[in-house]
Amino acid sequence: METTMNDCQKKIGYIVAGNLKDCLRVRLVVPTQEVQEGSFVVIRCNAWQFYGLITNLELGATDPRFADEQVGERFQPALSDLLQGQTLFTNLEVLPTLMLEIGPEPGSQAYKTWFENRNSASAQPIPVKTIPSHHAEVLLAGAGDVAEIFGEESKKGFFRIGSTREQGHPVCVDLAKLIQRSSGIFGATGTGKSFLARIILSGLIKAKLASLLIFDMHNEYGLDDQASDTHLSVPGLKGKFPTDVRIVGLGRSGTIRGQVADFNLEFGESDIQPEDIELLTRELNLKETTPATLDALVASFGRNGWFSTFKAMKPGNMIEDENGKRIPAPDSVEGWALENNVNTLAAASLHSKMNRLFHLTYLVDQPAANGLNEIIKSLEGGQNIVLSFGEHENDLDYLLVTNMLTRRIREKWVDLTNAHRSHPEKATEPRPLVIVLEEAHKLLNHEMAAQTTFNTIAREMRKYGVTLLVIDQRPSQIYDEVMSQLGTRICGWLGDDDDVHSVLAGLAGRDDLRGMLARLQPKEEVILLGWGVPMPLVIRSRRYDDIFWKELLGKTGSKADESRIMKELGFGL
Amino acid sequence: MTQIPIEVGRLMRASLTGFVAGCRINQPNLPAFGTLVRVPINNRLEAFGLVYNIHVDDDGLVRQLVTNQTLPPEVIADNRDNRNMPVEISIITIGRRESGVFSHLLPGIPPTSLDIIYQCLPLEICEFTSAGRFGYFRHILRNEELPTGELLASHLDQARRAHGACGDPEWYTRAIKELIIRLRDDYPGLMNVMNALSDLPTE
Amino acid sequence: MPINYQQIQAQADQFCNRSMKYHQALNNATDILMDVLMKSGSHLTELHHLVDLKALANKSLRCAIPIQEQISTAYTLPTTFEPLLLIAADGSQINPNRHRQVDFGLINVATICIQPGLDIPPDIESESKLMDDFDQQTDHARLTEDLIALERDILERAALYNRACKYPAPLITISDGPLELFRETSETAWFEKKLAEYKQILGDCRSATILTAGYVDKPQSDLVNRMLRLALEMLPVSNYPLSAEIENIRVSDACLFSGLLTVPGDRSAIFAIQSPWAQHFKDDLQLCFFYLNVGRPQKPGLARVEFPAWCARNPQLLNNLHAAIFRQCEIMGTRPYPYILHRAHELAMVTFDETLQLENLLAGELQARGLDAGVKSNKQSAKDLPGRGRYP
Repeated sequence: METTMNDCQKKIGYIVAGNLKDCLRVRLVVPTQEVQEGSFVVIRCNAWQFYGLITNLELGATDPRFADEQVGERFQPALSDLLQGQTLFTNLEVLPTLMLEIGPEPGSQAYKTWFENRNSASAQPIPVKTIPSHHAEVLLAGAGDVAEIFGEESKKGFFRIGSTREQGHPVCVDLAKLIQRSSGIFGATGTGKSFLARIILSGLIKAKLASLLIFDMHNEYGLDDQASDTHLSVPGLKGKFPTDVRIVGLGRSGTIRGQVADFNLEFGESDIQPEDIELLTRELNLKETTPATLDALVASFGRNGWFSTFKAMKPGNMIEDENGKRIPAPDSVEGWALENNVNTLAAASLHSKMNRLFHLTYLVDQPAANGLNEIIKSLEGGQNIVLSFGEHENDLDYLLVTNMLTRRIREKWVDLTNAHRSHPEKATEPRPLVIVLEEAHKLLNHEMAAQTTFNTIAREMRKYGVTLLVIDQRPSQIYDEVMSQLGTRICGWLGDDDDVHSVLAGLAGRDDLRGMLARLQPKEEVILLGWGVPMPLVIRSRRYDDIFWKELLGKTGSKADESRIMKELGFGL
Repeated sequence: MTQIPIEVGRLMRASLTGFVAGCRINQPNLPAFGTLVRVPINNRLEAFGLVYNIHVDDDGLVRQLVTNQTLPPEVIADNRDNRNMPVEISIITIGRRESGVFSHLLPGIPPTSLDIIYQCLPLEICEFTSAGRFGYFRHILRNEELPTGELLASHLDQARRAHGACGDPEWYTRAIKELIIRLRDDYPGLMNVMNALSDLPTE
Repeated sequence: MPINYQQIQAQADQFCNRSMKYHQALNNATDILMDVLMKSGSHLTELHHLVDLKALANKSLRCAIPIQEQISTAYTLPTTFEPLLLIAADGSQINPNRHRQVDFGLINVATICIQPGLDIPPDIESESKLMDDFDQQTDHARLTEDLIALERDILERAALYNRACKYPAPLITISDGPLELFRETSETAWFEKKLAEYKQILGDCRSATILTAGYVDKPQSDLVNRMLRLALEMLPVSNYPLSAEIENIRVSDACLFSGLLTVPGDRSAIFAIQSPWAQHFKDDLQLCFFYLNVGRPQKPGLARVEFPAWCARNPQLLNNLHAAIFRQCEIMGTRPYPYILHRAHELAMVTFDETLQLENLLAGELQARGLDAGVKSNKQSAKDLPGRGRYP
């Protein structure tokens, strides 16, 4: 795209030094306060345009004594201004990321020839492979430059996530690219991750590029909520997308804040697998004998029946044998253990600890409806599922349900993909699916990552069209291998060094971006990183408010506004 | 209206980089320190220079006379008006005008003895100092024997007034900027100049 | 070769020893002669008569002749006097030198005219005269330094008179050196002519009431002492043994009168000059003189001022001369010398560069006329070779 929309491009300096490995150094020609870290800049050099990010500002002087001396007190103001203007300077460090061939001077014959001969590849920005010359002009990016790199909202699949911090130019993400790999939304507590997630999820739902399965652990996304700090109403996804979003409650009578879900999810006891139990080792404080015991149970009763059978066993039940000696009853845990050469104490302990599971109301012998199939069917059909945990808000529920459900969905998507690949004429490609996971560090930490389906999804499932969208405040707790698979990272302020390091792991220029992360404003400022965005950029995120909904949906979305309008028109009171 | 050139003296000796003019002590047109002057070399060529020193040499007689506490008025008048001791005006060459074109390069040949030296008029000052890009500063800055700070301050003050009259008050700012750029790696030198400039009255 | 300082060192010691002895004897002789002066101070007639007698017997006698004033008295600076216009002249010369490219002579005479007490710059003029061997009016084969010097004296006197005529009399003209002409000893027609010119000028000055004075700085003459030695021989007041020591010690008049003229501004009595040349200057033009202390308290400095007799007979004019000379010397502060004479000398001085320029000018003119301008002698060329230097 031609860079014609160069409004608001302002020259801020010129190149004085730098290298490709580290950064470019720019001599600032405007007052220091007019430029901020994280600003998006454009560097013009002959037939190329370079794009970069300001990562540092440094004061300098041609001689340190000029900096030491307060010449304003010695000389007349005009003289001291002139002196300081020439001897004191500010250098910027700019991290170059992209370059784009813009050709010779427009209007010239050479330009015409170039334009006719260029191919589509050269019309796109490419990762920077060279550097601009000395004294190349450096300008703040205009709206056109931002659009050139990040796309325009008017184009299909591009969603405006926010705007540049200084001049408010709209910044878009390519949602199609976003969902091609797992991604993450990070930020310390209170930095607005949930709001940002709502914005992105809204965009995904509106774009209809993928189906979303949202594990709504704290019942934030599906239905209207209330902001914890402002206590203002926060619209839920269901209310805005009534036909595209289905709320699923956990358990037969699962309600969410008194509201009935679209349908409910129950798991059959035959669904639960030994690995589901092992996942809960820390939660249930299971011993190291647990895997052996579970193996024995599966061996005895099969993968589908072991749970219900184990559940039915009566721990400590005793009978008398023919000699009158009290022995474990055959239907007891101990009886089974003895019979199967399993340590009775281990078995009894396991049974005892699994009582929490045995009493789960959503874990039943025979589910009333096939909620799982309904979920899968909805997702296949292009709808989005918000699984609200309702009153089941503890980690045990979260870990168990998300893992079980995801495992089933993963299996399903693998089958669908393989079927499509085998017979594309008969089986359509499965719809891309994004699994939205909050508190991801609980499921994806180093301990558990190997055991959960999510690790597999993060590492492999993009081939099958399934990706994760993790939302977390402790990215350092997430398994490195999972983090490295996250393509796009949208990060708010992080205070912990390890968290910062983790978010930037595997990215070029991470040292430059580290400080930038630590200096974000606690709310509404985020940095876009990674594969899903052409280059790192600090933005001011959109606000999740009526204006957002009006822009997204093209009408006033809230009922309050509707009632106001009705009132103004004289209808209703 | 054509302004009459102001004669300031006659050339006594010269080289390519400077020349010395002589004049009488009580001469009304004695040029001030930092004045821009010119001396014709031939029909096409003139040298331009800045006055950087004015010598009023003493001599044995004067030194002897001062041992007398009271001097009769006729003796003072004699020494002031009659004694053939010229004021020597030292001038550094900073450019030329050749066939009407100003340049801040040195003239190729020095002026010859007894050529008349003229003080530049305001228009000439404007034209010379605005030709090129302050190239003549280099002649002043590289000469370590000059009182650089005071010379530049005096010259810029005079040139500022000329440019103000010629309608370019911004020249002064440009000149100072250029000086700062040239001297910004020489802290003592630059501060010397800035201190001198700061003693100029603000306009 | 440099001086042999080792040799000189030994000789310097002897020099100083002899000097000490001499000064002792000089002081003795001075004391004696001062005593004679004091005792014979009022015996003017006897002294005059004594000198006349001696002059008859000895044509070459040179000594002072008392006129009217007591010779043992110091005459103080007049408290009232009229500040007359002062004109001074001095000359400078380029002597002929066969070693130069062009052989020529030059006389440069400058005059300066000061109005004492007025804030008016003095009026200055100069005249230059080129001299050559082409137009000799003497029987000497070559243009000599002495000839040029004599001509210079004449020109100085003439310049003074000519300048003085432009101003109302009375006024004072002054030159450096005695008024007597000493330049030429052999009687030639040319010299006679010059002497006549000189006397004519002096006579013209007399007629125009233009006081003519000559100033002699650090005088070495012993005219008064010679007169006192005659008194030692003849007069009854004299009863001092004329020891060989005194006889052989030449005591200058300045040495003698420094004991008498102790206050700055004091002058001695006026004396006339008895000399072989006196016959040329008779009556009103008879040459007279007085000694004047132009120094500072406790540091007397004597000078001799010569003038014609007609000035001596005019007390007012004499007082004006006395005061004018002293005031001029005062101007120079710690090194008293008439300011106007120094200025005249400064104006008349021909520098080495000017000499070269003139030589080049003449050579150029000759060559322009197709004449051979001559060459520098080899001796002079060798002298003019530059000394050792360093490149560049």
